[in-house]
Order: sequence, then C-alpha cells, then structure tokens
Amino acid sequence: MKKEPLEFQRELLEIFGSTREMLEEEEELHRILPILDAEVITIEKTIECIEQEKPLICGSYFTCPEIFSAMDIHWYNIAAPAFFNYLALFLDDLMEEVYASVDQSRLPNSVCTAHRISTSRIEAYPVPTAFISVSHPCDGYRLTNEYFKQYRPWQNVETFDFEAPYRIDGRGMKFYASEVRSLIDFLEKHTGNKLDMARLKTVVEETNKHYELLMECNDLCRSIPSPFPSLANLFVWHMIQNSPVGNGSPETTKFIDQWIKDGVNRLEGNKDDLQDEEKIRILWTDMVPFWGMELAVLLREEFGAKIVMDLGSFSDSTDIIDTSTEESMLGGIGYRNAHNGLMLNVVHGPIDDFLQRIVFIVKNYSIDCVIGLGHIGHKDCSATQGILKDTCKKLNVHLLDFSYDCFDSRVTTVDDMKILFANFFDVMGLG
Amino acid sequence: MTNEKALKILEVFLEATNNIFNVHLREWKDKGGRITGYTCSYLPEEMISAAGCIPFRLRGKRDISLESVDGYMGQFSCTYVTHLYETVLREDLNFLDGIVVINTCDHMRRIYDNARFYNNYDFVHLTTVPRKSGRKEVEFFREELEILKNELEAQYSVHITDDRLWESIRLHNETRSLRNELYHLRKQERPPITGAETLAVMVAGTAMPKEEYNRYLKEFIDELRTEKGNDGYRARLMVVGPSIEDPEFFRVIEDSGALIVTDSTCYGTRLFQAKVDESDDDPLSALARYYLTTRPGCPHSVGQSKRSDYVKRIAQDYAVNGIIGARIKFCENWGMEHHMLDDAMKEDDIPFLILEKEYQLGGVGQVRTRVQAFLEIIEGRQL
Repeated sequence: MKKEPLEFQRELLEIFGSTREMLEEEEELHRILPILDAEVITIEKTIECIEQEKPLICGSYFTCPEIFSAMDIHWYNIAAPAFFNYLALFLDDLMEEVYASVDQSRLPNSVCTAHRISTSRIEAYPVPTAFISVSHPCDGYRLTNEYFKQYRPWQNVETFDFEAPYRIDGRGMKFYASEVRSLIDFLEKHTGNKLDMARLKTVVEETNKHYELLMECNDLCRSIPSPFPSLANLFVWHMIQNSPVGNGSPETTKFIDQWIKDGVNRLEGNKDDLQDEEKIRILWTDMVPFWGMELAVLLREEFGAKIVMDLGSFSDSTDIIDTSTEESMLGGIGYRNAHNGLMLNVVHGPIDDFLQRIVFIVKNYSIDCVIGLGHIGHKDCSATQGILKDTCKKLNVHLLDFSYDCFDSRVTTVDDMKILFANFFDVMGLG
Repeated sequence: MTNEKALKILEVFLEATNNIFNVHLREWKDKGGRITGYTCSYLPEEMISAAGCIPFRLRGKRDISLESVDGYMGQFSCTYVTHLYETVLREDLNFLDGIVVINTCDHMRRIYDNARFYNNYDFVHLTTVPRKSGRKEVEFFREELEILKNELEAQYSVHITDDRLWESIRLHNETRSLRNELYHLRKQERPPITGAETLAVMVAGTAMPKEEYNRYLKEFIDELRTEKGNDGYRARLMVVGPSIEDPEFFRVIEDSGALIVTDSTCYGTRLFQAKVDESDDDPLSALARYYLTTRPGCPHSVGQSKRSDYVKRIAQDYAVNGIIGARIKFCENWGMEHHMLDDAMKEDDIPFLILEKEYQLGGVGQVRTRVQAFLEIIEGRQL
C-alpha cells in the first residue's frame, strides 16, 4: 500500500508511541525506553520539517551525522524502513507491510533486502532538501542511492556524493578531510545553516565520549558472565551514530552512563541468572539480523547462549577522533564514517582490519563460537567465508556458517536457526 | 563471413578467446616475457604494458566444476569470481607473474584478499578507483597509478619512464582507434561481422601482445570491408552489461535470428570511446583523466543518468531495435543498474529485456525462448 511521506511519519509516530506503552510494562526493557523516546523526537522533527518546509537531509549513519548535529540540521536515514526490523517483535503489522513491499519489488531477489525495502517504499520518503549519497560500503548502497537520484519527485533534490577511499592510509585521511570540507560547503549552501568549527569540536568530543563509554560497555562484556543480553550494546551504538537526536548529544552520554551502571549492578546482583543465559558465548561477525531480538530470545531460552559481542557493537580506539587540529578532526570524521561502525567495519576496505578485530575479540572475550559471514546481501562476505574459516581454525574456535537475511526473517527463520544451532552446539559439545 | 583471410584471422582471435593460456601467451612466456593479470577494465592496461608485461584480463575456465572454491567462497558469490578463483586454485593461471585487482565490485575486490591470504601469487596489488570523477578524485587516482607504477618497477626490476608510458599510451590508443573502426562497420545496414564474432575479437585483445593484436585487427578490418555483410536478421540488438566474455552466449542470442550490432559492456564500446590525451604533460594524469572522466563508466561509479544517456546514444547510433541487459547472477551492481536502465529505456520506448545467467553458459533453451519472445515483441512493434 503506497503511503505519502507525512502519512507514513504519523503512522510511525503512532507505532513507536504504542510500542513505548508496551515496553513500559516490562521493567527489564525500560532501559531501551530512551531509544524509543529519541525515535519519537526524530519523527516529530521530521514531521516539523515537512510541514514547515525546514531543511531536511536524507543521509545515513555514515554520512557524517556529526556535521549534521553541529549544524543543527535534521536528517533521516535512507535505510530506516529496513532498520525498523529491530522492533519486529513488537511491530508485526509494520513488518507485514514491509515484507509485502519487498515481495512486490522489481529488483532481483539476489539484491540485498534492505535495498529492496528502500526502493519499494520510496514514495513514503520525505523529499529532502538535500541528499547525501554514498558509494560505500557496498554495491547495493551505491546503486540504491543512484536509484533515489533517478526517482522523479527527487530529480531536483541537490545531491552530494560522499567518496570514501577504500584503503585506510595517510592519503585516505587527507582525502577525507577535503571531502568533509566539501560536504560542509554543500550543506551550508543548501540549508542556509552555517557550521561553527568550535561547535563541531564540541559535538565530536561528545561523540568521542560516547565511543569511550561504548568501549566500557564492551569491556563489561569480557566478564563472565556478561551483564548485557545478546546484542544489547547495539542499541547504544544506535544512539551514538544512527540517531539524529542522539548523535553528539549530552543526553546520550547520560544514557550510556546509566547503561553502564545498570550493567555493573547486574554483575553485582544475581550472577546465577546471568550465567544460566550464558553457557555459550558467541561472537556474531556479520551484521546481525535486524529482527535479532527474536534470535536473542531463542538463544537464551533454548540454549542458554548469548551473543556477547558483534561487530556492530564493537568499538576501539580508531573510533576516537583527534580534535587537536581542524584537519585531523575532519579527516577523523570521514574515516569514522567510512570504516567504523555497523557493517562498515565488516564490509568496507580490505579484510585485514576486520580480521584483526575478530582475533582480538575471540582472544579477549572468552568466545566459545563464532557465527560466520552469513547475511545474503553481503556478497563480499560470501567471497571471504574461507578466510574467516581458516582464521577461526588458527584461533581454535568453533565456527558456524549459515546464510540468513538481516532484513527478512522469512529467509532463514528463527525455527530454522533453532535447528542449526541445536545441531552445531551438540556436535561441538557446547552448552 | 566468407572472406578466407578474415576467417583465418578470426580463428586466431577465437583461439586467444577460448583458451586461457593461449598460443600467443605461451610464445611470450617461452621468450622469457611476463604476464600480469588484472580484474577490471578500469585498470589502465598501459601501466602493465609500460612495465614490459602483457596485460591479461583475468578470466576463469567456464567448463569446470567448482570443487575447490567452495571451501573459500559461499553460495552468494558471483560465478565469474568463483570460476576465476577455482581456475587460480587449479593453478591454471600460474603463468601469471602477478595480478592487479581493482575494487570494482563487492565480489571482485575480495579476489585481492583471497589471493594475498592464500599466497596465490608473488605479486598481488590492489589499485583503488574512485567512484566520483571530479578534480580531487582524478588527483587521487593519479596517485594510485603512481603507487602501481612503483610496485610494478620493484616487482619486475624495470624503470617505467614517462617515455615508456607515452609509448604504451600510443599503442593502446591505436587499439582503441582500430576497435572503433571495427565497430563502425557494424553501423551498416549489413554488418560484416556478428556480435559473437566481434566479442571474440574484443576478448582476444585482452589476452595477447598488443602489437600483435593491432596488426591482426588492422588486417581483419581491411578484409571485412570486402564482405557483403549479414542481412535477413530479425532485429538489431544491443547488449548492456558487465564483463560478458563468452562468444557462445552471444551466438545463442543470434541463433534466433537477431544480430547484435553493438553493446555497452566491459569488453565492448566502453573500452574504446575517445582516446587518452597524448598532448597532456604527464602520462599518469592523462591516464587518470581518461579512465575516470573521459571513458564511459559502469555501475562502479556514481552518475547512473549519464550511463543511461550513453546507452541511448549508442542505441541510436547503431539503429538498434532492442536492448538486452545481460548480467551474472548475484550481481548487485547490474541487478539494480538494469532496473534503472529499463525505466530509462521505457522513456524512449526502447524495448529492454533482462537476461540473468551464470558465468558458464547454461539454460540455453530458456535464453532462446526469452530472446525469441523478445524478437516477436520487436517485430510486432514494427508492423
């Protein structure tokens, strides 16, 4: 069913509102209420931008939200409809609608579902003031962005194509600094908002705090048992980088502070309960299914297994941006947005950094088993499954390889995964 | 084709196309020559020629079962890449002295990681090509070529001077001119060469010494001018897609009575549009500018609307009746590109058919059926 942008945003507001009410009844889920609140504010701001014709950017969590935050420019994520999967447990109706649009997509089934969702729901996207298009981290993202540029209602939308060098080296950093400067010029020209470098420094330093705190969250996961449920820290990452309201905000700092306190309290509390849900410690290497809450429940209830770390939640010192000079700060923003964070640190660039992270996590997080590179939309991951397998062999850690769709739980269902995990854990003597 | 000399030369091209380690490469190796493989037409072949090597566009053996590669790559890998890597693992590409990979697509860029991780070759280099084509990106790409030059020099103990680069550019520009001449003949109402034959000629040019290729091609073109040409075809078709390199695939399409008169593929017109500017001061800048800004791009790059315009222009130049978008399964690039091209061609009422295939030719019956139906649509419109 085709939806107009305002109609869709109002519907989302309603959905998030009622989801919040549902979560209020579960004390254990109260910790994610601030995330929903941020989503609600984001949608309200989007509606305000549409209704009042205020500047509105279509971008992504890797099109330098730090710059948007510093310039007080509101933005929305081009992949948002696909990302809503993360509330799939609570959003049956929405998911049905999303899947219906996927099934009607003219794109081949082999194209990543995220892009089939985006392109099939294109009419529901607000026409932005400007579009920050990307050519990374994968072919699908680049071509989806090209698709949006062709879409008739968007043909007069000003576009900035963000170029992300493939390799991480000195030349790349210099290029990023220049590219981010060009992005700033573009945004100033098309939104009328001006960037104050001092303000940007404040925002970036706040995001640095966020990432340092995320590293603390991750460090807590090294303990046995880990205090957080499977994939929980992904919510933290979302607030830091993927939330237009959360990015660069002192409120996010408070949120993560509380998150860590809750984690510490849990560790000091009933460890037996925690231990029961963590007989098997898992590292999930590829992007986790966005309907992962169902998966988290399955792993806990059926096997007492926990995904203690995934690459989306993982943070290290390369996330911290050097703000000592304008050049280093802008270069660092570009680098973070091209190479770090959900999916980027798996898919973009040569495989070396990804492997280094895997080795580090396996060695430092007491990992019992690794889930391989399985999202069917990640074609590059398909071509490096052997390398991961051999790396795990050298690390002497079990690896389970299977295909799934991050954005469509029908491809490899939770029931399918139950069988896969059961056989795997049994054969490997885990749990 | 009836011209005997032309047929003999075509045999030479077919041998080079149908055999990975063809007779020209063998002779070259026997003389102590070096061959460097590369994965994508964004790689300036001129660089490799200037290093004294034959640039060899990497291809896999088609008629092989994928036994070894299953341990390295999963089921969602494009079969060009799986066949290529299977061929590497079987050591059928051991005649290569090194390979240069371009980060063109998600499947292909991982050849670099696999080749390094498993030490398949002494020399494995990655040259990255920007997606945009502004001044900054051209400068960046020029630096990439400088790095490649240094790596080739170190690996092969050669000195790639500007003179050598210019010499190489002139040689490859000559190839471009000749290919342009060849394709020009296909604009005629009675093209002297089929699409399948043309593809064999084009692929051969990526698998033999350029000087030799240019000599054969020049003679071939001269002989073709005496041909009466093909008539009685049902429709003039264009093929748009990636590195479609199997002449048999084109032959299957043409068996239904169509004639492929042009294309926009990685072995086709995109290879020879315009020339590298020989009046530039700096050969590396000239190459960077040509490959990034002058030559038509592919879905690797931003700017899909320019590509649609290019396809329309070529379709018009060659008086095409319909376009076939051919791609290999699991190709995200072309899966989405064809979708956008389809929409663009609809604007100009140009019939567009999408054919998805594996790297090895299979499902021939289905291809024939679909092409047959497509031709009937085209013929119906002409009535």
